[in-house]
Amino acid sequence: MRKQRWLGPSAALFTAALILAACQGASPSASASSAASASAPASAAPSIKFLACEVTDTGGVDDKGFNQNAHDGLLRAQSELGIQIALLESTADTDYAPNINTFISQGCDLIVTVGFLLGDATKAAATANPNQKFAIVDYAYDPPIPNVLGLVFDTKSASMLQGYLAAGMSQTGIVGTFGGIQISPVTDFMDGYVAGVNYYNKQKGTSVKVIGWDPATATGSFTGDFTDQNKGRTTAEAELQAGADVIYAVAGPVGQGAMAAVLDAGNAYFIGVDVDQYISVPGFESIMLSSELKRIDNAVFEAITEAIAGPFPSNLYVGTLANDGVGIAPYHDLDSKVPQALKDEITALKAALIDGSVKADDFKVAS
Amino acid sequence: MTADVGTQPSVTQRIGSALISAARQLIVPALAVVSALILGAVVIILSDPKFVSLLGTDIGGAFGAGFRSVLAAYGGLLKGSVGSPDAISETFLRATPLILAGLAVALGFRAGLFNIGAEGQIYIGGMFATIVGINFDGMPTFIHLPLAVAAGFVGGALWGFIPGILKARTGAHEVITTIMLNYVSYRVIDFALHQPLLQRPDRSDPVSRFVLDSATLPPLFGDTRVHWGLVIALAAAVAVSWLLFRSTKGFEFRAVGLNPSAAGYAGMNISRTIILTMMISGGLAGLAGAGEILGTNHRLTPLFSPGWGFDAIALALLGGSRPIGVVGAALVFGALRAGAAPMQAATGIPIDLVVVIQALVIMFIAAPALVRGIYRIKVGKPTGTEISIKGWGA
Amino acid sequence: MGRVTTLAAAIPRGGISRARQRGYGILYLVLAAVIAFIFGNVPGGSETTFGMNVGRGVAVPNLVLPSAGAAYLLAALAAAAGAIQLTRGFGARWALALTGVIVIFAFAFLTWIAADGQVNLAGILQATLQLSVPITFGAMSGILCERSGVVNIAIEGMLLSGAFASAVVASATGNHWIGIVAAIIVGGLLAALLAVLAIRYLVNQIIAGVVINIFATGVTSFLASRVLAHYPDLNNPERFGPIVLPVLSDLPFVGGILFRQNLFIYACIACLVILHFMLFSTRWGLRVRAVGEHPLAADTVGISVFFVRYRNVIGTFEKEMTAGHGFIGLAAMIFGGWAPFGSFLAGLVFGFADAVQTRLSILHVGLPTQFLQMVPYLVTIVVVAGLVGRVRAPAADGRPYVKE
Repeated sequence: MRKQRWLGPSAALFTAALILAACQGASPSASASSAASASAPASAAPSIKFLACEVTDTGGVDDKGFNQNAHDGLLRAQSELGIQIALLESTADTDYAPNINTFISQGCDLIVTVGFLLGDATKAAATANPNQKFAIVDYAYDPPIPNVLGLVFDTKSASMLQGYLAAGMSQTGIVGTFGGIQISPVTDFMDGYVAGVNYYNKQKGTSVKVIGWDPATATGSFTGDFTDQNKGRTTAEAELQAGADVIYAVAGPVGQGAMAAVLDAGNAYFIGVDVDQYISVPGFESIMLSSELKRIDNAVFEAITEAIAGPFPSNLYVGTLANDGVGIAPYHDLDSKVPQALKDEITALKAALIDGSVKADDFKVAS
Repeated sequence: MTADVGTQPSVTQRIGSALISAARQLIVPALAVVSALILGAVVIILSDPKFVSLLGTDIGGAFGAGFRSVLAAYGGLLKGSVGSPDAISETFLRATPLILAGLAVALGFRAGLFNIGAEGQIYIGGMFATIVGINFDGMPTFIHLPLAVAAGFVGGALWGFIPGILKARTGAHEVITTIMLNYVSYRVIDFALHQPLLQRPDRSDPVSRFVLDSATLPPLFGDTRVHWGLVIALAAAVAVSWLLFRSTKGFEFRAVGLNPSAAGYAGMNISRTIILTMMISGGLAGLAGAGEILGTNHRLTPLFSPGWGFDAIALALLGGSRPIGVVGAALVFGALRAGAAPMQAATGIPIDLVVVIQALVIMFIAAPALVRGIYRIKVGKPTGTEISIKGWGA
Repeated sequence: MGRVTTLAAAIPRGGISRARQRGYGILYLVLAAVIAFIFGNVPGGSETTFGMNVGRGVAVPNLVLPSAGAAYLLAALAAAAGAIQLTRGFGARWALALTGVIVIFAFAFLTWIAADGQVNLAGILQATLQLSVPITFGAMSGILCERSGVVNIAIEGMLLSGAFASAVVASATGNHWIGIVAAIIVGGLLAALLAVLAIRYLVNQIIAGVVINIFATGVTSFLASRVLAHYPDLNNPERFGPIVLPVLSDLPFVGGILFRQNLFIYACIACLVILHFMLFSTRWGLRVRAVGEHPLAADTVGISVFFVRYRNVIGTFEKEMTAGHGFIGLAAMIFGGWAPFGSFLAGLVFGFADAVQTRLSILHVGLPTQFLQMVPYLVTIVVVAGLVGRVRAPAADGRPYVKE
């Protein structure tokens, strides 16, 4: 029994040692990389009394996707407008209603709910509390609710530019795409991408093919989640082996696996989504053709500005190519590889999409 | 216990001895929770940015900041779980699916089966309940609601039947088959939510139509969030208790769990017992999914369970595979879950802290000797004897 | 039991029971019928093109087969195997026959699915190898533990925390080799915890494993949101690129499949060979196996059960794994009969299912994505349940050993 007395606390020590090890691994460069720290003090801006609160969906705030982008908008408002911010992460559907209610009772001036999954809970809370302002990402109510601002994005048009770019850059005449999960916020991107390729084919009389998504039958390649980078890698490899030389991955962090596959293949390009992945995912500069930008942060910032000013002038914010709610990232290192003619055509297509003379939906299915 | 030998113990003595034995049974779980909270505090302090940044310059200030974080975190947990009537309602609401899922795993443990598939059974049960709940417009509540709840049980039982029959017929270990079926169930739900049978017509994302009012589990009191699912869960606890300890079937379950070959010699049908146990276990988990859909969410979405099926394993351990213990453990976990969001809102500490604390609790629970070793005390019989899971060979 | 080296040896010597033999025979005939009547049912004149090149080695011409003809030929082969199985039986080589029929069926399936189209065979094989690696590593870890009598279902948790540690440490130090060392250390610490719980505190081993899995999930996600979310630089490790072996990688067909892979695949093969040698050809391996199978007998010979068990559980391998793969690894271990190369073979089966699944979604086969994604999990269930059934686990597996 003598041994046991020693080993009893030691098991607890093992546990503590693990945690310590993990923390020590983190601490040295934690201080070194403080520039990357998001929670910069809001000393520059004048402080005003306005509390903006974010409720995430189950992805959590560090999802490198829309929850995080929305939070970036809050952080920007914190530093530029001097407001206060708060955050609640949801772990399950059950959490949405109580999380929103927690914020209502805390006296939040604006509650930003992120994602279509919060649609029902936001509607219920907004109807029950008509004086509480809400903004919801990726959702629009029909009919609108007066105290809710829906934030939606014309990702189809922005993706159409990427499809055109991909078709213009492809040597093999095959371009690929895949998604994380088959839901409309994902497939909208893929629809637009296919539309861009179809538009290119129509303009140029070419027959560039898209693999990984077929809007007509709504079937395509999906990795099944937004976490498993290995799946992203194998999916991209499958498409590269099938002849694709441009890959558009609409799968959040899973896209990094695809970048690795593209880099290893050596003669292909990658197009990112949501944010400029040239900047957010370093190490793949040589293959990063461009990124589709979905500026949720701008939309959230806009929502906060409107909420500070008074009642919402309208109940819908649409991020478009025109208001820079969506866009196309610079070509960065590959700028010299993209022919000037192609760049001009993309600029022209962007203008045509803005003035409405070209619509992405018209080109979803090849004519 | 040193009651006088030979004389009849008095009433007070009997109550006293009952209390002592109850205290003995509670001492390991209680100490486990305390130890977990202490280690959880260590985690909070070590991961506190203020603590880390002050550590080099001002050790006293660093620990001061660390302890303030701990107090704020645990204060937030307490306030969010028992600080107000709404908080208490939330605790019971969170406990409801945990009780049912915990019972599902506990029942399996008793029969020597390790059902890690409660998660998948919750999903399939929830899906079945949704299918019944969104259809049959005009059916009166007293038929529709029981039908929807029963559908949940059936769905879970079906998902439990598969590993049950595979184990009974081929010996495929249920740990692997149930885990694989969990992954399959996510895809089944995702697929079903894209079909007209379930999907809301005006939505392109995977979300089902709302459950009809006639199939909704009503709130327990006034307009609290806690609903009649809690009553179902408690009734299920009583039923499982009866099944295990008062019925012949339950005796067979436990006999097969403790010693399958002896049970076989005694003429019990081991295959049938395995299949039946897995089906009831799956059914209980299915009820958890049904309760959540019919009482709380009123619609089916992918990943509506945050991992109750896995928490359930911890609950079954914590409760010593006794239904009353599972209920108690579920209330503790329910309180942790209910308190997590208010804690994050007040302190910014991530809600995953709750998962760390839960994991620590079960680690201490799973090893009574560990608690004994740390606190140098004598505790009641180890809980491990009530769980008869063996290796792959069985 | 003698040397357990192959799939076949996982079953008691002398092949399989009469009933089971008949069962396999019927299965082969059913598969032959499926091949002939379903896979052969393609428009006349259809051709299936198999891409034979991956990477930039010496190119081989693509293999072009008439879809229907190929299906009929493969059906005939499967039917012949069924007939032999029913009449004469394959004796001790039954597992080889089973593997053969599975390969025939898979090939016929590809021919059918890609009729009038193209599927890159070399690419599938390369991906199969790649996808089998994490599964095989997990299985090896399981083998080492279970051979010495500790059931390790904590593989998933070890992988998760190992991945976490390696990402953080590799980013912080800027050196991915140190990251690997960190992953091994953290995995080892968890293994030590498992050993302490299971051997010293006599905690039920499966429960201890589950506890570790839950614990690893909780701690890593807590630290990820608390630390990594604020310091993204800490989660940006350098990448392991492919290692292109000179000359060998230029070989036609096999060059791209075998010699243009990442480090872990070569490491996996090396570990397989070493583990096999250690287990079956050294005194140490003999002791491990003796301890695992008969703790009491070994005790009399004077081997310290405690020592061997501790050392083994701590010396596990784990790398590059993700959700569910730890458990598929366990399935591979069982399928492979607790033998290194057997589990590698099993890993290849799962890898193949996964690789084909990915290609199917590109070919527009009209099956919903969700069903394609289920395939690897269903294959695991079928394999664990149907094809092998009761395999023989090391005798003392899962029972804590108490020295009398």
